[in-house]
Amino acid sequence: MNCDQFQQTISAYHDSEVTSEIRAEVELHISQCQACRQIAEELRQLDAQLRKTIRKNSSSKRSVADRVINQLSIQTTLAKKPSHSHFWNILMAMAAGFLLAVIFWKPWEEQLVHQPITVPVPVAQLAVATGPVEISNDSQNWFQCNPSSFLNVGDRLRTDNSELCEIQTQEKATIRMATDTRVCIVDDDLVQLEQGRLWCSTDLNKTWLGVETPHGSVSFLGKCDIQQSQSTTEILLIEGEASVKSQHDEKAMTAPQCFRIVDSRVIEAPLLDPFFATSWINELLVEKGESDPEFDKRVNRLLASIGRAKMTNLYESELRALGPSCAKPIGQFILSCPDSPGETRRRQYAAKILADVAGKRAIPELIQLLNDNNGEVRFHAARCLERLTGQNLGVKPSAWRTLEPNKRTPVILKWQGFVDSASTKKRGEKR
Amino acid sequence: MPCSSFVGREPTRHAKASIHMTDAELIKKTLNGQTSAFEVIVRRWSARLTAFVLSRVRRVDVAEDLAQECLLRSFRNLATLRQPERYGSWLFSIANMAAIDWMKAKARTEVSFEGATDFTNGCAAWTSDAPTPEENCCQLEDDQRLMDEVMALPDALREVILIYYYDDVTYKDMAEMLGVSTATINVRLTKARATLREKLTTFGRST
Repeated sequence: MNCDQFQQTISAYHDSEVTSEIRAEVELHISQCQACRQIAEELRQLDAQLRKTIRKNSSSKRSVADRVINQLSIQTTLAKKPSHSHFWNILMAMAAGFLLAVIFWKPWEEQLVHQPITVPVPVAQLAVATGPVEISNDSQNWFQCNPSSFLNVGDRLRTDNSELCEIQTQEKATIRMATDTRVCIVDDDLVQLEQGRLWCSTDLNKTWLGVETPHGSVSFLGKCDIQQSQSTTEILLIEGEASVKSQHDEKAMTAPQCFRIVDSRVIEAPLLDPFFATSWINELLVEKGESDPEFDKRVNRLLASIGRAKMTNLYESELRALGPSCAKPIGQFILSCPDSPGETRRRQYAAKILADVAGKRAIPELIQLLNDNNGEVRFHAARCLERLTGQNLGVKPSAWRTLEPNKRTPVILKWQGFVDSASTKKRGEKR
Repeated sequence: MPCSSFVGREPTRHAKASIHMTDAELIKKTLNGQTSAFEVIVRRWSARLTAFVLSRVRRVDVAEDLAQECLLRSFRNLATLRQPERYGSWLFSIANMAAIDWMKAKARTEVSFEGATDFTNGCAAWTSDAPTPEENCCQLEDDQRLMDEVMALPDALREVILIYYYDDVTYKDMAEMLGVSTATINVRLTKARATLREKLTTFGRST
């Protein structure tokens, strides 16, 4: 375990949320690394302080439950009391009623909620957003909606000209909103696309998802990209099956297929590569994190095509557009792919892209690539390390093309030592 | 080295008491007339609900009152819940609306995406009880400083910190409540703690 991995794990370790194997690795690292030992101690102190401070009002925390239960028992007592005209019972009932009214109404305090709280059934949740997303339930008043907020029937969401977001429904459908998009949540399996563009997917074992637009509607099971302009709605079915309706037509779709609703008619449209047509979602996948499996899948799909397909430049541009986030999957691809004649060109392309986009987090993989069998891969790894650190440790990147194995090893060890000491120094400066 | 195998901890004290009963089972009993079954739900959810509302409204007194009202309203409208196994999500949705209504009523702006600057300072806003004579003034200041920094965290980070420390929730439970993965909970808690550590260290150096 290195220091970066330790920092990603220390929280879960402290909260006893890791396996025994990882626990052992963390404890071994703590015993060997003074800087990380210090971090662990600081976390322990912070945790103790947070526990004490946030739980200081544990009595008031319990009092919420006690107050609720107390009121529940008053209500239950009132409900159980037989109604007859005995004077004493009437008096008690009146007193209890008065008490209840006072407890609920609290006339000496300002009203916390001026309007009755409606009791909605949530149908979706805002999962991810690249920036502020707004929500409204009356189309008049808009408020910022934060990720993890629940969405109810009738809620409207809108993105501005630079933000994307992703919604997860209770039926396990995913709805991704592009920039300048507005949707209305009609139900957990139906949305209205009022403007803009959506990428949607459904769980194949669940229900179909319906999307209505001003020009028509589409109902599908699978994956779909729907774009609405002033006069048309374009539906790209990426996976699965769909049914498209307009005022005058109803047609079935099977993937991959592209339809357009125009002038109340459903017509077939030219099919673009669905993968590139939906590249706008990449920014959302990057936001979800480097370990998102869908992101890795997209990167691997692009990697599968570079160096082979006629339009290699297109795939290469797509990869570069993903930025430093794609460095890890590219690095892992090169490390895991043997340098056979059929793969040499692809690995070299991948190494070139990696060297141009990788950030400092990719340094461990780059050091490993210095020992690759392919000279071009070693060269690109070395030039990237020079770009990121400003150092070449006495061996120019071009020299790595022909450097023999016995001469590589000592330099690789120097790189590992260089990186370890830089990490330690950085932690010391932080404190 | 992956950090994806979260094993989870022992259930909380409350959950252990009714470990064989799910929310759905307890709701069914409640609807059949056993109000005491709902008490278990109240004890199970009150703390984390309070923490959730607190992360929105940032006042303890308001959060407790709203949490109480939301639990009571959920009880009164229990029969309308179509999927009892989703009680938690439903309750949080009620609380979310209640928090929004409260903030609308107080003409507060929604929390900004990048992080909040609008929160109430001062001991009175955080502690429901007045400080006791035994409490050290410096300790109070430290506590207040810490809570100021917690309230200044971005929404997603503030939420997990408050829910985690209010109720000692497992990563798995928190992931279910918030509709994210346990890995995301780990990332958010790690980031929140790192931010707090850095802010408090910087403060310590400058004073």
